[in-house]
Amino acid sequence: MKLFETEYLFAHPWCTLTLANWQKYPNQYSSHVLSVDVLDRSVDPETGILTTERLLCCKQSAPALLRRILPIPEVAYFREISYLDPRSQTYTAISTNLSMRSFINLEEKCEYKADPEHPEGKTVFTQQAAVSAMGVLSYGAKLVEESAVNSFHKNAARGRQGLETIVEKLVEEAKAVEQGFKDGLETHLRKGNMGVPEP
Amino acid sequence: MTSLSPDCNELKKQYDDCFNKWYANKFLQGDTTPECEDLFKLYRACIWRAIKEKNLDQLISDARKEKPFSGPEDTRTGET
Repeated sequence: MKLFETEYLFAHPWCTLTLANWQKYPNQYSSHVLSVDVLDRSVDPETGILTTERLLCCKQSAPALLRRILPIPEVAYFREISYLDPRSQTYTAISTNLSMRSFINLEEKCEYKADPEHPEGKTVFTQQAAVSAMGVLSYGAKLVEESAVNSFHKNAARGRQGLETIVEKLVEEAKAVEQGFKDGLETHLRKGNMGVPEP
Repeated sequence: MTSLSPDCNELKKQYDDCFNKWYANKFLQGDTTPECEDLFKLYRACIWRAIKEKNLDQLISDARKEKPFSGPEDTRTGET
């Protein structure tokens, strides 16, 4: 098992980043992402937590050596489940590979959380990935896992750059949303819930 | 962003546009009552047809057994 972890501080408020995150694809840094679909989505009326299940289809990034020994498909499918909590200003998304699971297990966890020191202006982004190779691949596990971690590294940087380009596009809309989010949050914190606002 | 199936692109676009507006103008402002449900039903029916055609339904249901579509308590247990 090989782990990868990175942390980054975005100079944007949490509400803006999550707004951009839903619109992240396509962007100029994400040519490896071929399609994104929502499979299921719901809001818990008690907690206000938004749960989303998505299916992502990406270009295969397995090393050439492996592709010679195994019938690796051209594309890889990932399922992502995410929980967005507006009260704690936390968004957590966990992605796992759907294909090739008898050979390799990839799990990536991304979290956007309002920076406790600057909750209105900055967001802490953490990204963790765990890779484990199994079955026939366990013989070459070190190689496979290192290669997977390398692509996480590359894609992590691209992912951040991609998100920044979307934030730039949304800058005007985001200003209004940020003010409304702040007002809404204050109202609801006073009321002690995140339910439907009074008419 | 395109859908898994070109047949669903238009339905996906309509749903995504509706969701993004709702997320910005309702959800983040404190009104968490869902909207866009009708558009989602149409889009979801389309995407699940494509998933079955590509034989991805079994892979998805296996993954759901490991990590069900449920509250964030799951992620918290995963962290420890």
